[in-house]
Amino acid sequence: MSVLAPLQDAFQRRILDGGVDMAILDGVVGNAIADAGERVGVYVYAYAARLVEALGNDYLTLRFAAGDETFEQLCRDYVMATPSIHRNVRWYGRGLAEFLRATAPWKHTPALAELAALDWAIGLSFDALDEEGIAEADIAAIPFERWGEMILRLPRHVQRERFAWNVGEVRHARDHAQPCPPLQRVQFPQTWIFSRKDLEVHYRALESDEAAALDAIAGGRPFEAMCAALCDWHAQEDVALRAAGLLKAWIGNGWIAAVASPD
Amino acid sequence: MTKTSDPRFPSLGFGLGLRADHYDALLEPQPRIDWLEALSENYLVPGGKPLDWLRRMRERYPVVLHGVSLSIGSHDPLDLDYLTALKKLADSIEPAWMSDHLCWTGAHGRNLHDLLPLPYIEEAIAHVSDRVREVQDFLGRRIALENVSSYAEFKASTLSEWEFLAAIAERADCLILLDVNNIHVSAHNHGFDAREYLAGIPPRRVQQFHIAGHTFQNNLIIDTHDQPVSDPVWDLYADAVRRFGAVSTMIERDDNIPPLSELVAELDHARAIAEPILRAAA
Repeated sequence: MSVLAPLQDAFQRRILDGGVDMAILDGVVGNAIADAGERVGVYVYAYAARLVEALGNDYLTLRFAAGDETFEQLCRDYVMATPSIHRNVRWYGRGLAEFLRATAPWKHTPALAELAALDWAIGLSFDALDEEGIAEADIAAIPFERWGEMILRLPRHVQRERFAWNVGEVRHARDHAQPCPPLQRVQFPQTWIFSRKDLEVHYRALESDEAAALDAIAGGRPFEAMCAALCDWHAQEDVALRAAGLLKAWIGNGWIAAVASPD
Repeated sequence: MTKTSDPRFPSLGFGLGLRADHYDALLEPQPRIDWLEALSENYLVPGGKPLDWLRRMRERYPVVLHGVSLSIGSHDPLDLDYLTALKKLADSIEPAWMSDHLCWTGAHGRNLHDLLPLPYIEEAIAHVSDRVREVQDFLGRRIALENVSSYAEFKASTLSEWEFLAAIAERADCLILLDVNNIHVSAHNHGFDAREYLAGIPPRRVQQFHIAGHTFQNNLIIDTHDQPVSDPVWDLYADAVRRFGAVSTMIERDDNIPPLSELVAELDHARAIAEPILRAAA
């Protein structure tokens, strides 16, 4: 009969429940230096501490805005509710924004979830796959009359998030060692873009028409659908110029990883 | 893997852990740093700056990959996704060797992100040895397993930790990353003799030494890697060099990280201990 599996299961139960399950203690040697509870307690304590530390490395803006004490508490709530399924602790924080959006008391401060989403987007852009952007010549090679059918693909380092709170302003303050501004709703929700150039992550708010155009591209729709989206903002005769201008800027930014020509 | 008379890779000398705090300084000439140990998981990402830094370091230094997530002792199946990513990284970086820990890190698909102790029993020797062979076959490389610091031992154990470690190394035909600080920490916490531990380890299996600092917490010593190496660990290191000879030595510092110059000075201290012993033995 296996000794290993039940012993590991009991050890893991006590770590994940924060030191409640007693079964493992009968199997651990205690002595004058420390009893079994203290010994296993080292691992119980380290589990939450290590994950909170990892979240602290990933969620710089959230920590800046929430303050160390609140940040630690929300992380501990997340840790207790969310066992890690990841070999690499890099991915452990993936669900934090959704957790904050859905879980009391944190959901009553919606900016927290948006701050978490902003930090996660920066992280995704930071170590996303290296992808060379296309050149203008790649587009020029496609006959103009077929442009409407072409499909553009965004690289993985391009991330977008829509914010109803001033979380971009908070990040700017953090990056420039300024005091954290009060959290407040912005007049109109804005889409922010995060992307990487020369290994550095850059971010900014998008104009509404540019955000809609990028939504079309990110959805795998052809260039003509992007132009149709721009019609909500521009007169018919101005759309082609705006679309061409956006495309040129995006290529310059490295935001287009591939173009599938109609042929 | 085929068994050979001396399974070890050539010694690299005296190295440091690769930490982001030191990236810029490490690109300056550092003649007193012979090699670097990179934490595999920090570079198991799709791309961007971390991998770029690692490639640049690899152009200047021999690099060893050291993992924390293999979970070789878990009763869960081996994680093929993890191994595939690790192999891809290794094939790209071409490390001098690869290592992980003799421990488990979780079960039932959960990961506890800690180096958890195993019971020192025949069942665990057989289980771990089989899995090490699988991993080595998959990676196409012989790996080294590190002894972990521990705070708990199991009543079920029938062997000493060093008997357990030595048996796995021989049966799996793998190498040992002997963490001298971890021996000191566990010897204190469990009341065994650290010198008896060294005497129980087969020299032909010892590929690498780790040395590091630790912290007292109540009556236990915790392996925190946030302090300079302590005098008792330096003494034990000297004994390890006497027994095992010219073994690649590396200082681990993971928290409270000082300027690189301080760690280089610590590395010089390791050299100053090891070189006279090695000269006398030559």
